[in-house]
Amino acid sequence: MAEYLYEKDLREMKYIIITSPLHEVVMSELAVHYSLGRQVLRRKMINECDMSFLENIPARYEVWKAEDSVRDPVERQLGMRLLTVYIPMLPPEEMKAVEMGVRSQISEGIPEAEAYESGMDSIREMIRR
Amino acid sequence: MKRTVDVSLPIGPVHPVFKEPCRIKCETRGEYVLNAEIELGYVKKGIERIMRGRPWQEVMFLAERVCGICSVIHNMVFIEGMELIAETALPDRAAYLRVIVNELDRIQSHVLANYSYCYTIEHETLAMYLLNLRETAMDALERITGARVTCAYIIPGGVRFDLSDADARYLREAVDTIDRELNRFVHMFTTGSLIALRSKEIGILTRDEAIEAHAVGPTARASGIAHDCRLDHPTYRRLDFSPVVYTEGDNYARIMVRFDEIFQSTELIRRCLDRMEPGIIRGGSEVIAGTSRWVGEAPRGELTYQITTDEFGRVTDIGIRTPSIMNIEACVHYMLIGVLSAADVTSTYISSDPCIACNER
Repeated sequence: MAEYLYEKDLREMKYIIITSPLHEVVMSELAVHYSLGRQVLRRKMINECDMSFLENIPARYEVWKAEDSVRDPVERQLGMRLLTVYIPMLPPEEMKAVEMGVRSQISEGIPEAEAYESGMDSIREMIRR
Repeated sequence: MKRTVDVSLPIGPVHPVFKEPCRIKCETRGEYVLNAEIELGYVKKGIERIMRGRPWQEVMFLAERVCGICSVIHNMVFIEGMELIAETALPDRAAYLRVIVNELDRIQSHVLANYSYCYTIEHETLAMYLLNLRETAMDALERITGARVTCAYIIPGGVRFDLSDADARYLREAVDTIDRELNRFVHMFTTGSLIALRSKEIGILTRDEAIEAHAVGPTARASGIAHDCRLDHPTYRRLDFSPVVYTEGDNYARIMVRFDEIFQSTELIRRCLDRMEPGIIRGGSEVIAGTSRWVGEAPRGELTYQITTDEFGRVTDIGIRTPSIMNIEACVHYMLIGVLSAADVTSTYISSDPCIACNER
């Protein structure tokens, strides 16, 4: 892809997009769910998504919320499809590894809350990266 | 957009088939499109920012200036959002008049969208016929509201002007003309073998992809999703409305959904005229502090307004989600990927009826 001078840094425009009132609703819910700062989430999204994707994040988040209610609890708690399909911030294979880890911990008898927390720790680490 | 490919193909921001400026960047191998990205921001208005802190009497005019093509629905959704906060009751006659104006706006928008598509696939004859037909809808809109665009017809508690018997007769003749002429043009479209070659099985958006990107409006309904916000609207529910759905998900289906919706709109206008009783066209109440989220079906799909007001009726916060945001994203990330020819990139893009003015609100 050819590089154009004005394409080198779109961060400012992207930041304006993801600080709209509708985006703020999504950011606050995600920040609470993953115990992360909004700016950390915003930075990850700016790095990983193009502008049309960022514009569409509130709609995609709503679709995930509607869809995810019928999926299994581990996927729902970790937000597997949210972070890999609906808002693709994290690599699917790494998320799969996190999911498998949580499942194996649960099958080994570790309390669910503890297993989810360790999974969330890994996700937080990946988002901060 | 980091892979090394044969050809990097930028289209726009100024291009003969684009009504508004945007740039589509395609990674291609030969003419096969591997990846695409869209760049907007050439005509950003910052209208949400301008609205904040202003009284609703000013914001209602700003709302319809978000988009010139579908200004009526922006006006309608904002006002209905305000009515939700103020708990305003709407007179029956005003409710039907709102639907009539909204459907006329939908007709002209759909005709314009299909005109653009025909123009893009080099069928200029049909394109010009359609553009001429659009004037019939625009004239009817002007006769009822006093303006072709940004007519500020819908106001809190009702509508601005009543419809006289002469206007109603004029409107019936206009929708009859639209039906008659459009039948001819749809026949031209469906029997044109070259049109089929440029439209069928091109730019496919599957049902799952449409759900994933939250595609809305005719773009989603052409992919088999039977969702239309008019189904949840109190006035449309009284009119026995049901959405037009196709399952092919290609350019052809998207155009045909719009053609069918034009026939549906003319029928809805007739039903409104038949059921409308004489009566008042304005109610009233007082705007109070509150928050509302109201959704309406714009010609391109689901339009959402999230409004917060203070006790003086000032809009303290507002978020507008226009349908083109979802449809452009679906187009760029799904429909364009795998398109076999660079010429089909523009036609596929136009078939999703993108509105840059809506996006650059």
